[in-house]
Amino acid sequence: MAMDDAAVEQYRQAVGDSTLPGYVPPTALAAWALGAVLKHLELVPGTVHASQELSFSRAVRVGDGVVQSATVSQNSVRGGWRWLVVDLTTDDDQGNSLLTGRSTVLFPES
Amino acid sequence: MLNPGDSLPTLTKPVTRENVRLYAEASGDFNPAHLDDDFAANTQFGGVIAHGMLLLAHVSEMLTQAFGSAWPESGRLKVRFRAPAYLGDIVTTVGSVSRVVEKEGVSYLECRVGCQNQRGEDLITGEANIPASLIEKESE
Repeated sequence: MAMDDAAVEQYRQAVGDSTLPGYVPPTALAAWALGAVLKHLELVPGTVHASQELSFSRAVRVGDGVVQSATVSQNSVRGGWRWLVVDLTTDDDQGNSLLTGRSTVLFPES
Repeated sequence: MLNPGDSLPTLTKPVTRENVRLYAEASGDFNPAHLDDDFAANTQFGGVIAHGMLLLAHVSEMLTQAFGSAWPESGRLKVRFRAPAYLGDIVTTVGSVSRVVEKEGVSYLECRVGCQNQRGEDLITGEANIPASLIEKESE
């Protein structure tokens, strides 16, 4: 996907961030990758985003082509909660890493 | 250039229903805990809360203000979401340079980062690392 100017502007407006014009705010990349995963899950009341790790390798400009993926690396039950660990990656269209991340989301286990 | 003990710029942002709705549309995260009063009332939070990633975006903006393009070029972040931000809350980012650390032959500025609500309660806590060499280049 290309980093569409309209999508970046929509994100900037939502978070109120006008820093580094012409670049994609780095958390936007993580938000889009994570949002794509959450879309496919049934979110029960009580779901919690517990932690987030992010590591950036290069700033992304508006218009750049990127490839995003999200992989469930852990799915376990502990203490009445289902722990879902999702690994996020964003690469450029040459396969070079731009972002890696790890999201931990907890679901109450009924 | 910032040194250990220095504070990062503070950002203060309100949490409004409109911000949260805009963020859901911009991120694609339509979790009803952020959008649906009835659904949210039945959660442990008892009401609509902001996306954690919306609050984290404010922390990231603070880091961009402090370190410029060095942050998205090569920054690292590790945070925990401690408590939710409710509609009507005022969120303030907090950050300070804690020390310089060497990792795999690279010097990083390690910062304590996070955000708090208007009562001073921690909503996000964690740390960020930015390569010192990129910060120096940025400030030249």
